[in-house]
Amino acid sequence: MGLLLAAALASLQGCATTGGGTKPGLHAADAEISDPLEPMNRKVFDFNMGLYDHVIEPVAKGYEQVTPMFVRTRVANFFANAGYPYIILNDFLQLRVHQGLSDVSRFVGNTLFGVGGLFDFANRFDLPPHENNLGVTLGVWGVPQGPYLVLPFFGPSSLRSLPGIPAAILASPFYYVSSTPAQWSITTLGVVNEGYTERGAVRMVKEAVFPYYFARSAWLQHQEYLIRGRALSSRELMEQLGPEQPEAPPASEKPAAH
Amino acid sequence: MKKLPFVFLLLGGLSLAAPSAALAEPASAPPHAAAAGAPRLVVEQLDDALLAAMKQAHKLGYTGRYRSLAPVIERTYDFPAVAALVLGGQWSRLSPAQQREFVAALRDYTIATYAARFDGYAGERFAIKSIQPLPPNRMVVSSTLTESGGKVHSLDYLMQPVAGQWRVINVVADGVSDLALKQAEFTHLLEQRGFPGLIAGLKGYIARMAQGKE
Repeated sequence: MGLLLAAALASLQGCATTGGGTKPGLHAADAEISDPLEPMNRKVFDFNMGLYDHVIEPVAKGYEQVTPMFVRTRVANFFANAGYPYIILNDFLQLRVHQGLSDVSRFVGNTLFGVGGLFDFANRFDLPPHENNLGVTLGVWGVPQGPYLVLPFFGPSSLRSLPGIPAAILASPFYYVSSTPAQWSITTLGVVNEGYTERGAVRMVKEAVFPYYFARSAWLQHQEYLIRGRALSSRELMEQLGPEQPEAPPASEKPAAH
Repeated sequence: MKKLPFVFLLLGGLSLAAPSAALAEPASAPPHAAAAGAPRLVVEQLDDALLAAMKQAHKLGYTGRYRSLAPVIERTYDFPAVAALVLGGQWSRLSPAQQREFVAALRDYTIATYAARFDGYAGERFAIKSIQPLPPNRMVVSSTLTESGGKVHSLDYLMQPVAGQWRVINVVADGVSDLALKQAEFTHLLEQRGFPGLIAGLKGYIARMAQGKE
């Protein structure tokens, strides 16, 4: 693990200094994106979409048909709750103590009083769910993003976020289940649940005008948002308008339908 | 909307970090913001229209939601400004006729997105949290969308006055700027397939939104 982290961080620093893969001439928001592996990423992206179409989605639809909503919600709650040790670890690594304490309360409450996380007990006590991961922690610590990556099965990522995959596995309670059949069963149900709960997001990507760029932009923006502590300054809002703010056409040029 | 897994991918906003005074409506609003409540009203009207469409989603169907939302969305957005911002430097290279065609396609694209995505109701609620002036002449309306499960999404509307009316030029949902998403997609499409390809891409999207939607 240490070696993996060290290797990833070293590569990341290298990429940050070269800044390869950016595309001059595109809009400012896009020009800052480092995607030197775009040809390969796009192939993996297509593979993932194909996998979703031909395997994950049919299985998720079958799951939806054979299980009542009550069961699907309990399963989704259970897996979401099991992900909290990883989220809490990252909360405190980022020194976001208030969020960390809220997430500890949420995890303990749901585990003890929500029957192992099957019921979202914490929701009644204004303890909202949060997102967090090691890529965000490294970003908070100042580690550059590095090149954008699309991973088989996992989807959008970056060099900085790569160590988050083994970290999430090690922080998961399921990793410490000793029975191999039980581990396989949990993993299989987890994949089915993921396919079911994320189908709306995947549908949005699939239906986009340019799915690859849509997914890349959304993922990168959301990571930055989490790194900033879910905040956006006025300066950032204005920067999103780009360096050029061309004049809109005069009213007379507006379409009649307006 | 039975579930909002990535609501930020729709059209969005974000709660600004510092609450209270910094984000409150200014005590002495500039003349153009004479009615500081005007931007709030625009967002409230959009939220109300969305909730109404969500609550009657199945009765209305996609076409009904499109028709009911269209006038509100047309009043909400400054589509010519959004179109110019999305295409950046490439906007000025389009002929006036192409600019008009793109603005019209962008309007249809936006309405189709709302009509397709807000397709059910499960207790979601909107709330406006603050209004912040953004000099020289813009305002940010920060709001939230809370899912029935308790998950809270932030929605920030960046607005500017157009002929005396406040209009939205960008929405940022959980940190994801709708303008940046469109820039990422549309500028690539324009570069790779030209203006006809961009319009065809938008029309294809609108057709996909209508297809198979209840």
